[in-house]
Amino acid sequence: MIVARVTGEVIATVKHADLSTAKLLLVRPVSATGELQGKAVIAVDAADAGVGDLVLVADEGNSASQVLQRPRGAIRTVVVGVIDAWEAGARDSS
Amino acid sequence: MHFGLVIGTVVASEKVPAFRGHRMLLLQPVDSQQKPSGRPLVAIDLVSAAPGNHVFYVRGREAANALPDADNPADAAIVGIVDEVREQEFDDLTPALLPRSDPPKALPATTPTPARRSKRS
Repeated sequence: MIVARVTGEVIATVKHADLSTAKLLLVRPVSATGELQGKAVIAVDAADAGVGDLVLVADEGNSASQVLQRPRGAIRTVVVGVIDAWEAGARDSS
Repeated sequence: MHFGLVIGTVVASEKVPAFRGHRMLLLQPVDSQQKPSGRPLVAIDLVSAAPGNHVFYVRGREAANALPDADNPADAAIVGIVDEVREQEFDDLTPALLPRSDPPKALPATTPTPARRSKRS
């Protein structure tokens, strides 16, 4: 799983049947220092997240199928949680 | 799932039987603003996309699962056509969302748990 920030929403009328009821969020990975980095990817929302939220994103088909409670299909990237707080200071400690 | 721009079609008369009847499109990976990044790839089209369309595609095993019969060797499949991307500009995280950076406290020393006395002896 990765820490990412929801930066937007994607609207698509024509999509695969597995995605028919899915809310598609645009999520951008966040580094351990809090910067947005890398390319935004599209994730299916399973945690009722919204734009601006810091979220936990799983990018694996079996995780997706378990979280969405359906057989394995075309979905792979899922928002599985909204992060309240996190801590990242281990590299500075000596 | 990732964004892509359909930049062409691919025709192959001789192909694995599992691909029969499926359209293959040449896809340029792009970002949400349609700026290209990375090398083009060939993806199975499941949504009747056309060259010029801004689409999104799935990679890996889930691409094969997206086809009606999952027993196939696809590694990329187009699963949607983008109507609209509603994106907000975010620079860095607001202080409330930043990771706390105080050095983590040392984990409490683990005391060996006393071995459980067996009732039998």
